[in-house]
Amino acid sequence: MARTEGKALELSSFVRPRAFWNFVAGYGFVLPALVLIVAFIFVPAIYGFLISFTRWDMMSPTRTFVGLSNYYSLLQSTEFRHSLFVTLYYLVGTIPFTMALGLTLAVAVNRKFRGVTFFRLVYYSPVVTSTVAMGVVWLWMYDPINGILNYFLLQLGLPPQRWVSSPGTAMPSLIIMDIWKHVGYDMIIFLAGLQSIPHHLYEAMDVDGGGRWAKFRLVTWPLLAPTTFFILVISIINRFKIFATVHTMTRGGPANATEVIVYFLYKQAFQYFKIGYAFAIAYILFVIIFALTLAQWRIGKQRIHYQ
Amino acid sequence: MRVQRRKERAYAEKGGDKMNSFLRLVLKTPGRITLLLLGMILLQFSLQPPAYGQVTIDFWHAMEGPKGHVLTEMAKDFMKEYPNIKVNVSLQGGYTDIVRKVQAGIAADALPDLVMLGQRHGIPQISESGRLLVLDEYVTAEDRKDISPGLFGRYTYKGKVMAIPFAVSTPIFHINANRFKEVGLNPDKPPTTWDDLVAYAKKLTRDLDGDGRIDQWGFNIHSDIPWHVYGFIYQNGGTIYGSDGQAKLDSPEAIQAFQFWSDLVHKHKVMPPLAHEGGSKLFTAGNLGIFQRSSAFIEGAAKAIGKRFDYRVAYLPKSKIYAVPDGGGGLGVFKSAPEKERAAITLMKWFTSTKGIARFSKDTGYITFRKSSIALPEMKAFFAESTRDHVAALQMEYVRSNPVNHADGVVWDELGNLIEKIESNPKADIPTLLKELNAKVNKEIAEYRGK
Amino acid sequence: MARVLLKGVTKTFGKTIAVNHVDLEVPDKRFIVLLGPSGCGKTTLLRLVAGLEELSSGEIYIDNRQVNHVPAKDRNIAMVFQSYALYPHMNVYQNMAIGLRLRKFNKREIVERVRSAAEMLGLTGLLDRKPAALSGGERQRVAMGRAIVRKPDVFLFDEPLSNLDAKLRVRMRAEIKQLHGRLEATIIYVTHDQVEAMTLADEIVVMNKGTLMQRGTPLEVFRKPQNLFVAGFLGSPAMNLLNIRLVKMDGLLRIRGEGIDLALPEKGFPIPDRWIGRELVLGARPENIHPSLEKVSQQVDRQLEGLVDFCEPLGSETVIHFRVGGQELLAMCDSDSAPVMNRRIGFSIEMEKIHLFDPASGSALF
Repeated sequence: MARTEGKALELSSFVRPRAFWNFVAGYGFVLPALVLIVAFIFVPAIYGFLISFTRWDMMSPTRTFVGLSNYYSLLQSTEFRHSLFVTLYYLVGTIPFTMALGLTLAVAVNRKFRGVTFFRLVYYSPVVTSTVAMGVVWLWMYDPINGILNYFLLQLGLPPQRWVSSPGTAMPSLIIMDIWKHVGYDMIIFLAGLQSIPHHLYEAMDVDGGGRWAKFRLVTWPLLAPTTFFILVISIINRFKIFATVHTMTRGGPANATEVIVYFLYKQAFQYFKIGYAFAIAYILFVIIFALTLAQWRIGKQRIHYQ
Repeated sequence: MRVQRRKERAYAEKGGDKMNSFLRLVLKTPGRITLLLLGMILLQFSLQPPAYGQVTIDFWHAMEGPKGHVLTEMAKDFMKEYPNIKVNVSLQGGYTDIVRKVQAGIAADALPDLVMLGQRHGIPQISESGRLLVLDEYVTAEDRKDISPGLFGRYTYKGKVMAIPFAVSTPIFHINANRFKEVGLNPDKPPTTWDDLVAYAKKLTRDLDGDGRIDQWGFNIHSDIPWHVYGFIYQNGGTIYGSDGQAKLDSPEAIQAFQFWSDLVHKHKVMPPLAHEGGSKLFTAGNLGIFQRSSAFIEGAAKAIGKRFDYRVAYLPKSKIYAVPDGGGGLGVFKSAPEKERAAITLMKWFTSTKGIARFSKDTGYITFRKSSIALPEMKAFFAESTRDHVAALQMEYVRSNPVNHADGVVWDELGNLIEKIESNPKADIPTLLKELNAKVNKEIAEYRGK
Repeated sequence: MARVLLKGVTKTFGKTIAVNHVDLEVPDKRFIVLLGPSGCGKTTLLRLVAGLEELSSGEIYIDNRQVNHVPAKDRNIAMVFQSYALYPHMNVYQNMAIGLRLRKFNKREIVERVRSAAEMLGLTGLLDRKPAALSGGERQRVAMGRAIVRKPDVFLFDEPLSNLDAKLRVRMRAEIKQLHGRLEATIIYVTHDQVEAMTLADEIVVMNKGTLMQRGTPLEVFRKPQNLFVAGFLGSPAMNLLNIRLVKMDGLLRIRGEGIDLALPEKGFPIPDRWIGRELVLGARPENIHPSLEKVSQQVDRQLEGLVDFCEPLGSETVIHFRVGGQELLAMCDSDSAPVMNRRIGFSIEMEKIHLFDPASGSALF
């Protein structure tokens, strides 16, 4: 008995109290997710950062330390600048239209009518469809000779387009598909935002003398500002990362017309086996996105009214 | 103190700290024995001592579908011949996937023993890893006579043979004999020079219904463009890399080759620009006279065409010489325990033997590239029936290639870009573009010189 | 300023009839309060006048102009919403000015109107604040200011004080009353709070289940309820309603019930004979029932004997809950003379102030 008591005394000051088991339980619950995040996100990120200062092909046993030369060559590289330009072209081509269309659709489906759920479903389903599957189908549609889009154009008496086969029209083709894919997402988020606007503000507008346009301009749009801001930030971040569409449909071509940053990164890493260079690209991309988001945040704080 | 003790005892008696009692139980003797037994059982599962004399090797390949089955069947027959070698055949995806898996394998130290490597997929890098066995000593003088020397190029790195050619294909002309006849051409006399090609293709390019749009094209090339560019460059007497290891893409021969390509699109208007993806469909539908694509396409094309028209194949034409690049993959061996290496080499030699190549090419549509295989009676019979495969096999004497190089990836990519630029812009300044490209490639080469 | 006329106004939502053939005339410059419990249709009626709901049938005239199909903004009305409906991203000035801006008033006029309304409401120092930075009462006043600057024909108030605390409510009531005086406006005001109705209204319109129950000045509606509903709705604590029978004895009318035997005063109660012998409802307000000061034997015709359940002290007065027969009643008395629980005492009723109702129709007999 005494022996047991002695042992109990040593362990129990930590082991027995409630606090200890709370501690264990707390970390126990978090641990699986924590382990995954650390192992698959943080560790690779830090590892990649270190690799970005080397030259390595991922297979040879030697890694050459090259300091900042990867970053220097990147900043001087015309291809990198070109891919930045292509990515920005893509951003400017998709985001405004997706948001505008999304908002329009949200306003349209923000009413109760028969089959409204059906429409919401229809518009949102491209968002959750596999990008690759979609890319393949659109590639067919875009085929200059056999594709259905050119068929329709011809029927309407319009000239057929090269779509993804020509450097001039390749990016616009990808942009069209992308808008179609993401409109639903913006629509859903805008819808949520619209529904959070108090209904009686519109009635006050009715009394105050506001027509449809005044209601949109003076009530809907300003009160939608937090939602709009959110969508803008998220859209920019996501669009910077576009890859699957390009890889499925154009492989960065023709003539590098659709070589977005991440595709450029992919080529460097997996076709040219220049891992260090690729990681440098990744980190520059990170800095760009971070800076953009920060800038948006600052602007947003000043100008957006949160209820 | 006493009060505290009493409280603690009461707490313990109530079973308050269950954990403590559990730990105590585990650390007592019955618990220890159980743990020991569990450990021994687990240990059994992790150790796999081989049966006496048995060697097991892993073979990674990149042949999807029925072609992969052929490999599995062949491996079974091998195992019958060599009962002490067990072969695990596994499909790893395509050539690109194999490179990835090898990359991962190098990091995880989990490489196969025999591997199929694509001729343009990472052989320089994998060689640099030091894990590939150099195979020069396993290539006999007979082999070198039996196999066209041009084939070894793609598997030679820094002067050493790193893989043996196995699944070989080359570009070839696929011909629609019906169209030929319709425009007064003789399908038994396919075009043999570049000028022939232009003349034939012009005749074959027709606007049948007078609506201003061309309905039948004379010539098109499949979308693995850079490969075919090599062909044109070689045919014009040029080369990708010179013997000094520098890129020669801005040589006059290369410039002419590119100019020829551009002329096909813009001057002679016999090839639709930037429509290479749809070329295969165009051909099998009967609206293309001459289609340049891999010999591996023969089987699929024949099925798709059926009896719709008379489908034949022909050599690629020459400008200055006959020359075709080779494609496909070869077999490489990864270093490991001596008995495994030996087993892998045995398997490799079996696969690439005269009989092995004969069987493999017959069953998969890859080219029979060994002269001895072509001479085998079963192959003679096969060729009598499949004249197209015969033509492909015979074209092997014109195979040319450059040794692999770190800059190959860049070359492949940039050639594709260049052609896209040329096809979309009739006024493209080809010499300048090639100069730029050449400088870029040389820069890549220089970067790796340091190694 | 204008008068509002409603003829046969009806509004149905699907199968529910919210407003049932209401006829109402609101004279110019009058303060009319629509009073009733939740769901009685008062808010719907207000919104019909505003133009925020469409008429199912009937006609509405504002300033002698039919406005059935005229949109809200063209009816020259202004509304103060229950939730104030202030635009959260605009400051006080902009909130008040917006109605004028949308109607393309010139800048000077807008500034002038907003300034004077702000002064009237004590908002001058708050003009550049956003609604989030205002207190409940201040927001209320901004909502009113927004209506005032419009100088409309009719002001419509939809329970504007229900979101304020009791003290603030009292103050705002007074301010609204003053405002009515200064603006000389026609006001239609909706509330469920009878105290508000009593203090603010020129006339009260009591509604229940979409129909007008009674219309009159506060005192009229209070003293002369025309039906059971109005009788029970106005007055706090509510009027006692007892089931009794009317009988005639010795040529005099008496009211009989369980434990109840009262004499109806001869004068002032013209009751047709057909009611005699019928089961009726007696209405007597608690403030007209007091514990008897004299002995029970005297004035027996106006006394009840009841058992005291408990008392609710209100401060200066006390409400007595007592029982007569099986029915529960309330009486009032001075807090000093509050009776003790569980005692049987006598209560005297001021019989001049009682009411009689027909339980079938709910109407008052007189």
